[in-house]
Amino acid sequence: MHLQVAQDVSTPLPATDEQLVDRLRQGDTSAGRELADRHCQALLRYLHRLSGNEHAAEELHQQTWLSVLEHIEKFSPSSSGGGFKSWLFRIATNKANDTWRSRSREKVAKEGLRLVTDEELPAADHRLESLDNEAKLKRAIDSLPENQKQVVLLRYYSNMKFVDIASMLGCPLNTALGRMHKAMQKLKQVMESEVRSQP
Amino acid sequence: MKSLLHTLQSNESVLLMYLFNELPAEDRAEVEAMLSTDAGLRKELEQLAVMHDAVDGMLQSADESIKSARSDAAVRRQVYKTIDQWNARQVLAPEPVPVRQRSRLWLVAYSSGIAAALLLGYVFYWGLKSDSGSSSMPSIATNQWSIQNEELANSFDTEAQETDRAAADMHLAVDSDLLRRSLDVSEEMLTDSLKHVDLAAAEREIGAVIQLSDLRTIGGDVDFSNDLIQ
Repeated sequence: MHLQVAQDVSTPLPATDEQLVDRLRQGDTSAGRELADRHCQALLRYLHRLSGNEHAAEELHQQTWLSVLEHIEKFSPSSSGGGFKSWLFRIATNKANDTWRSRSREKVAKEGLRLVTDEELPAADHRLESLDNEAKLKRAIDSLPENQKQVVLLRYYSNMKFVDIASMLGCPLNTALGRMHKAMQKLKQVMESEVRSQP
Repeated sequence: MKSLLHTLQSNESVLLMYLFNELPAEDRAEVEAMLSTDAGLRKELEQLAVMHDAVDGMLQSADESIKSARSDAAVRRQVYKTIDQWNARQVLAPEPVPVRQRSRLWLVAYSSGIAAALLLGYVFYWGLKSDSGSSSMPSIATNQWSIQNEELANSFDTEAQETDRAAADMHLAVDSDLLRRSLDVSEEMLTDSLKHVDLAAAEREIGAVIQLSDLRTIGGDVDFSNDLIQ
């Protein structure tokens, strides 16, 4: 029992994101790698859901990290509610918004791109079911208005608090919560109707 | 101060904050008290929890089913590479250029302006005192900041002549050449400083200097008393 306690005490606490940022600023690239290890997957998933396609998500992911590095000196935990993760997702959301805006201006091109990406999905038999689920979820998420999509994806993927999400999106807390509620309702409805429509 | 709970405007908002565990302990206890007495609210929470589980489950299973053309590890390696490249650029980047240069220029210009203003005030006083009845003395006090540099130079010449005369009259051992040179320098400094210094600010500076300086103190070193000048 005593040995167990001693072991717990001797185990060093993992560095916080903010400590890693400090080390990265001083040129310690291993700290940067640690940050990437911690957040890459969630960020990539978030961008995948937000952009609706894998290649766009990877592109946005890369742009986000570039932007993080370019502005790392400006990062301040006190001014970025929610810390580094919040700041990272904020940058990613802004990048996605920029892309979304430019795509909105080229709606026809977007539709064309969507057709191409749908065609790009591999269709191996053993993955049909998961692809089907993935396609359903994609349709459900795509059916959400952009502002609802952002709130629900930020909450599930970045794990940011609603207060921070509201602050990040520049809307009141009640508005963010209202969007979340509507998004959850709609996602559930769409997925249920997909299930009912199955033969 | 209003608690977070009381800023929320709908049951859905309160229940979402409760469900995602984002309420402070006091607010959470208050919601639990409400839930224990309100069956409708309890039902609403249950429905919300079902929706939350459904969405969470959908996202998780869909994420697990993603078999990217490039694995997460490959994407991560790309980020590592970006970090290494960024760091290399940071190491190779030249030291930032000092940004104090401009402020030092202003300091020099401002100091020159003050020095010139002091000299001008001194000469102006001297000229007035030594030739109080003369109308040929340029009215520097009224025109000094509106005249062009050329006119200013002329006025300095005139002042230099007046100074020479006054010095001779008073039999003081003043080296007029030295004074002329110092006036030339002050003219040069003033001309230069006028390029940089706000005229209105400089005028205020002059006014302050003349007002604050005891004229007897200015001439103290050579004992320019009124009696002696007259």
